Amino acid sequence: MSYIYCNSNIFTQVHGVGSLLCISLPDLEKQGGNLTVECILRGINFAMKEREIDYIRNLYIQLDNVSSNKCFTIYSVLIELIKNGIFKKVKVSYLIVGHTHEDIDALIGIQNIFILAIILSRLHIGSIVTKLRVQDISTIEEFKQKVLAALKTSHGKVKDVQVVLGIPDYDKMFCQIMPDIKGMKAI
Amino acid sequence: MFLGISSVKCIRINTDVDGIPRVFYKYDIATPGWYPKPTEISSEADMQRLFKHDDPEFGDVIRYTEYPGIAIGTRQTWFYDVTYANGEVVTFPLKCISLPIKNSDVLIALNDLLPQVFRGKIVDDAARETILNNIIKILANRHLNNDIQSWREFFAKFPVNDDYVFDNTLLKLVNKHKRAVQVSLYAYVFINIYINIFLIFRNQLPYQQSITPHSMIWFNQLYFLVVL
Repeated sequence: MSYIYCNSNIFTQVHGVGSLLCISLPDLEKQGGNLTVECILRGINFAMKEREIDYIRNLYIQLDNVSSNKCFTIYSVLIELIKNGIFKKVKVSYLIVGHTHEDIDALIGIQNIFILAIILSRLHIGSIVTKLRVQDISTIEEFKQKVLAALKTSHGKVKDVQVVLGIPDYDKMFCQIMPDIKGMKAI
Repeated sequence: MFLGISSVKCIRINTDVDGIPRVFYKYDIATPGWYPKPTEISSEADMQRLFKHDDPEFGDVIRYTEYPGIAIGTRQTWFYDVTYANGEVVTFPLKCISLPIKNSDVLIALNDLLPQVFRGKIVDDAARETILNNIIKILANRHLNNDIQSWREFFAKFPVNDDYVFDNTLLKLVNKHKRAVQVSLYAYVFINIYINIFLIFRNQLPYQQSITPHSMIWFNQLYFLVVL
């Protein structure tokens, strides 16, 4: 009999600052738009803390082009942050088809060849997955330490690993200010 | 043509001069022009009604062409070149309308939204126990019994009932960084344009080309300050 445990890892790369890894437990908490919002908020917090700034003038967010990233909960939370003066402008764009060569996917890693992973790991190059694939990890703490040490380059280095527990139901909280989806259908 | 949210490639949220949030979208990032358009012209009657000129000498509208603005400050504007029966062409700039947002001028009291509602089984003892047991069995199969205690401690930190108040990331962010709504500063935009023009044409400035680079930079800055 086989036993399965899985955790969901979401990388948030802040260009020019570093990366944040959010670990959640999909068996205990539902994923989707609420998790995306939580990761965006944690990413913003992370960036503001690293840069020691109080507000962001223009925020550019790039998300994977999947349905859970196109829910109106995300837009509603961003609207609320704008109303609170955290930003002046937010642009949310979705990655193009074939974006596996973009920097975020390159950071996480798409190499599936185990031999290549070993070689790259020995040469101290490659992505985070490349580094982790050849190591035995058995606890969350160990996983955190290995991820933090995986990349040494300044732009892609994971600077913080957070366990996301208790994701609020942002969908329910912000249903009262949702943009009207009917307006988006006609061009 | 009807396209939904699945075809949208870019969303823009900003505030207008009154601090009211506005939402626009695009179907292609590389193409200029934001949606929703200022107006939807679906028939000849719409065209005549919308672009009817006050001066009767202009006559009926013959045709129109629309194109989006690409210069700074006009990117959320569509331009309509309208040709009238007397041959005159008049350009109408119309601003994009925002997607309607409910309660756009009301600031939600985030504290009132507590206690939060959580989805999932995080406070379900049985679900947690099942997952922990699975982890323990996996570790036992791999002879990693020393790590079992670490997982037990990790799961012991989980809340045991619905009354547990988690660290609310949104509330924390807003409480720490809340400030007045940021609106467009046109003076800032103007200075930006001025600096760009200055940088492009800085070689045309009346100074000698033989001076040292450091002095050149200093002279550039001085000239800029004097002119500004």
